[in-house]
Amino acid sequence: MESLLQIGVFLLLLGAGYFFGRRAEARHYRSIRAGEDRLRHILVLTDRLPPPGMLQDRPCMVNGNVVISVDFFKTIVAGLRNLVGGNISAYESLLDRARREAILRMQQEAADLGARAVINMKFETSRISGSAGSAVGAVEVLAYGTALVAPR
Amino acid sequence: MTLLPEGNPRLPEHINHSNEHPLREFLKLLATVVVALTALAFAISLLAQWLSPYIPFRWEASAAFIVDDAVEQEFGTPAFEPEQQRALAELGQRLLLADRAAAAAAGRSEGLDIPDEAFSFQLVESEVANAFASLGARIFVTGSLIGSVSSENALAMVLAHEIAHVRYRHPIRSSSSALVLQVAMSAILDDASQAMLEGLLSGTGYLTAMSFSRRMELEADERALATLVKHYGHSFGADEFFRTVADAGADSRWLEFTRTHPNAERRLQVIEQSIRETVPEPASPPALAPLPPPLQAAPAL
Repeated sequence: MESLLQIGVFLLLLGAGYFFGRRAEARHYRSIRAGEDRLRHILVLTDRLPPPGMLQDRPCMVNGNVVISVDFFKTIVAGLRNLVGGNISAYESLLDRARREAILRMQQEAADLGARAVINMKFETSRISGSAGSAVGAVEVLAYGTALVAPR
Repeated sequence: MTLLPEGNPRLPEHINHSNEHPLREFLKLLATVVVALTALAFAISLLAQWLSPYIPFRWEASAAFIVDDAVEQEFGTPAFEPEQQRALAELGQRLLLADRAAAAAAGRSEGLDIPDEAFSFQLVESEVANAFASLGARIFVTGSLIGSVSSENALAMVLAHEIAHVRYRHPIRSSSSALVLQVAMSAILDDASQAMLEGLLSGTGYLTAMSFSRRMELEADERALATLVKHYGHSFGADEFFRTVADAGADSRWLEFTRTHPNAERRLQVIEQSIRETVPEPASPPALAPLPPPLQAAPAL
């Protein structure tokens, strides 16, 4: 009886994780695409040096930071993957969203400064563990770079 | 300047993340893992059952104190009179001799390396009528079972059956299978999944109320009947307890017994067959031996 209850709770959490997780992910991707369209004019480059034509621009550090949590369903799928091996595509989509969102926030900071480009962009990713144990609580992605503001 | 794009390009989706539906991936993974774990569990179980009888009985006996602890924990200290315990042990020893004689006559030698002195027969208190054999030739009978039989023959059938389980090394085969499986699972799975799986497999009760397979039960019955015939000359009266169990059906007091002793109907048939073979005139059946006097006072169900 107790084991039935355990299975029931597990399936409920799994279902909730799947349902809400999928909805959150779809919504997030929509907002990311909209944001990318809106901020498309703020160039993001990984070049170390400013491109010719922007050498007189005022440099300024900008960063974009985002923390996204893993839902229960993704955690279970990752657990199964850890047994079998292969890409954990559940986490891949999570990190893809996190990276793109971080870039957007960085671009937003640059836009607020009146910049037209961000160069030397880099990423930092770290794991924020929620509870003790194997479950990944959340992942944080930081995107930082040098914004170039055109001289007056 | 013309080398720079107008704006960031619109990059294609689904390069850095998969397009596969997550449920499909989950189900595929789940199926793979379940099949693999089931196959592994099956293989481990078979291997443990095949290899464990090679563990010398001496080693099993030296670890049997854990059974005593488990029984103490589950049933408490029994409040039976020493004469009652002695009466049970004495019947047990008589049956051990009969078992040896029957095995010698049939040319069988399984389990005869286990010395008769190693066997211990003990009464425990429980509302449920039950008898079980555990590691180290420990045989336990509940007072309620004594109370539910009316002849020594019926009690002898139960004891001889448990003796047969010990002779065939069924306790170590059954418990080592469960134990090795648990160890393997804990090595592969993490704590959370392991707890869930344990709940599913309900790994309790491997030392007390051990569950033997149907084949093990039938084998034990066969040997027990041979012992009874050797000792009493017939197997009349052996069916009393099984008949009571079959009739009780879903009575909750018997659920514990039926849960750990499946297949009561079939076993009853086998016993009845033996009775037919060993009682030449059904109209005038042989006299049944009464229960030893100290045991006649045991609580009736």
